[in-house]
Amino acid sequence: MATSHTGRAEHLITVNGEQRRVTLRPADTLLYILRDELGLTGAKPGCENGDCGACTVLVDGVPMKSCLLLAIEFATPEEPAAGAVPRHIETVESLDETEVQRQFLDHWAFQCGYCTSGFLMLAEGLRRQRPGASPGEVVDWLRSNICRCTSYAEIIQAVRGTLERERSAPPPV
Amino acid sequence: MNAVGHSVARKEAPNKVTGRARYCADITPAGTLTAALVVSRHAHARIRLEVDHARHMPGVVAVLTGQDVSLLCGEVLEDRPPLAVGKVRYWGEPVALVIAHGEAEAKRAARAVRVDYQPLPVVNTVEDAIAAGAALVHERLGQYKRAQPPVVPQAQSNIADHAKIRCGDAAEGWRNSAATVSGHFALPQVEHAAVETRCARAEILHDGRVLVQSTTQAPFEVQKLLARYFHLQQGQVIVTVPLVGGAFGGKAAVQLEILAYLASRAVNGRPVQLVNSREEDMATSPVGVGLVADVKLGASAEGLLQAAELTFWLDTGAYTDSTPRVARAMCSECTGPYRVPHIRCDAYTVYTNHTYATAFRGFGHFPLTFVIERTMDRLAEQLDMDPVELRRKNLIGPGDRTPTRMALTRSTLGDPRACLDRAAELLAGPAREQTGPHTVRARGLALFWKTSSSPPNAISGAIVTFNQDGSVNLSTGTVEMGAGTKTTSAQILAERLGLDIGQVHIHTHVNTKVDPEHWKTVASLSTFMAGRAVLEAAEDAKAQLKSVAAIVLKCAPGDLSVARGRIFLTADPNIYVAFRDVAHGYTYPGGDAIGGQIVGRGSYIMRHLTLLDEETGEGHPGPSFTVGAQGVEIDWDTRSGRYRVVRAVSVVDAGRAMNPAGARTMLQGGMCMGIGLATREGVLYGRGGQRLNDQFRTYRTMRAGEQPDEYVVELVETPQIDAPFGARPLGEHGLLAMPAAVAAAVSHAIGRPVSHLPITPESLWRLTRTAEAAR
Amino acid sequence: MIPIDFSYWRPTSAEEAVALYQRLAADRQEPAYCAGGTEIVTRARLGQLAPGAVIDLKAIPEMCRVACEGGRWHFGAAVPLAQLVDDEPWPLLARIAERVADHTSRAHITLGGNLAGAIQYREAALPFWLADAEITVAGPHGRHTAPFAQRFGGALSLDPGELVLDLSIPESATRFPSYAQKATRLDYVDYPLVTVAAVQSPGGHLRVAWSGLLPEPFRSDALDAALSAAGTPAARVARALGELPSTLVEDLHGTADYRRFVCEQILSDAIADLEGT
Repeated sequence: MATSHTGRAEHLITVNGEQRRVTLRPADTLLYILRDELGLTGAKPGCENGDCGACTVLVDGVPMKSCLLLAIEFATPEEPAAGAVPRHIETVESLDETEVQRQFLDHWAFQCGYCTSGFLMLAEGLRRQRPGASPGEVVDWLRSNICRCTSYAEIIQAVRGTLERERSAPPPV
Repeated sequence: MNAVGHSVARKEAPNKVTGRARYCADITPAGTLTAALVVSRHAHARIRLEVDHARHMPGVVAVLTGQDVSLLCGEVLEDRPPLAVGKVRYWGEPVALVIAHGEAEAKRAARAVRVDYQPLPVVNTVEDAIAAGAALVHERLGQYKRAQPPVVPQAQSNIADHAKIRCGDAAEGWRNSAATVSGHFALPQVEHAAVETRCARAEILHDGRVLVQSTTQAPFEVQKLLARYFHLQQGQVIVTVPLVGGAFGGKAAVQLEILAYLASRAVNGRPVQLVNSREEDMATSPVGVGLVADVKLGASAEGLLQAAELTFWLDTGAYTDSTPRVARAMCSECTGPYRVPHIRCDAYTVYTNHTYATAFRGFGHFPLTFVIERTMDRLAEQLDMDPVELRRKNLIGPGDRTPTRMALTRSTLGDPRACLDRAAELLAGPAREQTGPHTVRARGLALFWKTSSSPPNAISGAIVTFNQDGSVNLSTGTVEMGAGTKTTSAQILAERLGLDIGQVHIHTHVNTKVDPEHWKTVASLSTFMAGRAVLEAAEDAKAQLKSVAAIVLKCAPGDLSVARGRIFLTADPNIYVAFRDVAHGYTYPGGDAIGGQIVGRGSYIMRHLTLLDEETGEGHPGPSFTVGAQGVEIDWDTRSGRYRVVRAVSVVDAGRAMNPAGARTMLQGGMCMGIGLATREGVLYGRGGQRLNDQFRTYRTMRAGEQPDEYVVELVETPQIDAPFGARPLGEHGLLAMPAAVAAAVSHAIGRPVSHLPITPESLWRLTRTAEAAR
Repeated sequence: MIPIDFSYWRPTSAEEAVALYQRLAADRQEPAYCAGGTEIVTRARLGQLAPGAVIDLKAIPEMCRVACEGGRWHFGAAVPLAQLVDDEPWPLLARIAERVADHTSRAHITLGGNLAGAIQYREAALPFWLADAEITVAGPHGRHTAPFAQRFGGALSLDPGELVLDLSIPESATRFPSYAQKATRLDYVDYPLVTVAAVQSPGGHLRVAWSGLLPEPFRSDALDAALSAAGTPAARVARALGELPSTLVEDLHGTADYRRFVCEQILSDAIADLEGT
């Protein structure tokens, strides 16, 4: 059966491991809801056109541009069907003392910091999805976002550094 | 300790990697109304607006048009209505402002505003603008108020300003020239393209205060202009600026703040926020100037420059904003860092029906450097001389005078020779070499110099207060937009007070009510101006600390030193008091106290600077120079005509590297932007002046993977004696000579001079094809 | 921020989606199908599109499937391009898809969306044109499977309410020697000056499909014949270029004559690559 939503209404969305109740219109983008309803302003509107990647978040671990997503796609019913797994959104606010953050700090991989959230989430997605990514793959992922301050070399080094640490880290016990 | 000279991370860095750093549009109080712009879809047309329908749409509180606002704005020349009146002068110009409860309602109503256009002839190029009988962008140019002279408009023309350099005797210069070269250049307008778009919020309280928050680089300018335009006391206007998401000059222009104020005024002072969409940020808010230039250089047979004749036409678009100042900055350094006895330079600020222009990183010096350095390469060719040798021969040095007759010292100039020599060494190798069946490696090098063309009376200030634990608070008026200015100030203070950088607490945001004025966070001047103020504030605080400590320690203040949070006897550091014991008054065991709260004050005002003479250009535009040499290696595919910058080199005289990693990455970022300007960037207009590239999809900036394989950044350190710790400005400089260097390398590769930007593969294909056809 | 309002529907079968569409259309709701949503979201923001109802197709299992059955590879229309690149069931399709937009955006953009979108390049169509593909469409009159070229001549011809369910190709076609190339003005991530997909059929015949040269993707039997005829590679390329339409696209990415120059190089490279010359 089709689910349908019309008009402004309350919905549940899972963000950073928490179920959040939000009021949204079906036409609201995920970026708008994260920022204006949930106060998660780490994701930035740089173009709202899918071009700059400053709004990148993880959806079930995969980097996606939250300006291109409708928030309604992530609404879960109050009583989810048995076995249904809500899609999980992670924003930069969920990162806490992670390797990728350390690497961005160590390599001076940002200046104004406005694109940083998006780059961090992109890099975190890469670390999880493709820890063995080749240098070419790293660049291909990073091409999705725009930074106007750095030379990109710093960002690429930070991401490579993250992957190297990931590969050399002892496996979880 | 030893904060200066160390790679200290930005104070706010931890917040930037956790999403906790707050920018203007991240902080919107509940109840803030949203403003949406209606912008012109014609470049030049008479307009009639129909707003009644929009006014009555759900959620709409007010709709403003140019008819409701009687105001002309402009930093230098007051030529710009905040909302177009009667006619529009560029595609994207604001014609109406809708204020509504929510963003959706505001945008819906903005779309419902009907604009009827009666097209006028479009002035679409500088050539159009200066042609005889050209349509006038401004019919009443002669009547505009000159807000910040010098500015010399020519009534009944599209020339908004004419700045000049007259130095020596041009005729003699040409007589002494065995070789002359000339070049014609046309460089497009460019986008600042900060990832954060421009944004402003305003609220008018019933006690008369006006609260403004914006992305500005110039909060004190916003304050002054709003007070002037709306007849307010300056103190009534309170401007706050949180972290700024990149600026590059584009946020020095005051535009949205005025609109936000007008919007708030129209709704009984309620808070109203206006955030640019990316499209508005590119087409509606100002861009960087375009340049058309004729450059002629003459040299003796030995290659000594004798004469320079330069004409610049700056495409300022529909309004002047700061372009007359940009034009004067270009005039001041019009020869590049070379000794030229006879100079004639004319810089015209030209109106077109393009998006208006404002400051862009480098304040005119990247296009200036491009046209000079390209012409120097042509001269070297004509003289059959190595281009590095030609430059070395003509390098300006201590004892020489600049085009504005400013006498140079080693301290004011720095060491261009050291930069050139080292860059040439780093780029050693043939100008062109075949490296494969279809690949050529080519090298190119260019020099830049730049002083900071501020108003001669630009000021800065600093206030130091103490916490009960002996740590200090530092307040300055500089905006943190990525350059690390606040951290640099903290380093200076930490160094002078002998504190750990962690014990210096900064105000990340600027608030004009409590922070001392800093002219504008532009021109890479924060380290110098705010730094000088911080030094003075540190000395002031130290003197006060010592005077209280002298009583406590029963000695003269002159017997005391300050370090590590203590004031101690220089002769015996074991006899001391801690900051925390004297900074808020010293309390004796009996409870009685002396001294009081210590507040360190520091200020700085530019000294010995003068305005440029209107006829000769003589004057003293800036306190010092930053000089550097930059170069690239490119790989050119002879078959496809495509090329890639594989290595980029900068050697810059930093005076003193206060924060080595900060300096290096700042320069590297500038180099990347410069390569973008060289290879792909440029504002494009259609035949009718409509904007063709107002998104990141179409206005291309560099992305990962397009950067060179290797960046080499080396710093020369020739101290600027009057600067904090000798440090020179560095913020803008990474990009200045990159386009010229790329053009030089590409010229070597294809064997044809490249005089245009951006240098796309198609443009090279066209150039080589034309060359073949001509053979 | 999308200022307009629409209702949002998430059917779980194609038939349900079609029935919804009909009902909403009859109700003057101006429904639009949506998969990745990139065009709907960006164009609605700019006011270029104003659907009253959005029917999200991503919950229809058969549209999200990539599988080889009965000797044919099936590609669901709601499969994101990223999956076609990562899983690489069909190398030529992967090579073309990996140059559409950027890495993150390819997790949004779907195969069907790329074919049905307003952005004119529709590069994902190129491989299917060269591979005896079939397209299955669901609509008010049920499901229809047809040769791909019957439904796609540069743009999809779909009646109101019809949606693309999946595309399929013979399994053998995934193994034809193939060549893919995209040339842009300069940047790796950009719209194409020209994108080319080429295959060498078992008989040695070369077939080429193009995007970026004309307002829509195109292919030409005459051009393929010229390219496949006897002669030196240079002569074949020259003859093939002669079969290009006389008016090519001229826009901010590049001029028509530069596009022609780029085509010449790509065709030479394609021959060299496919024929090993």
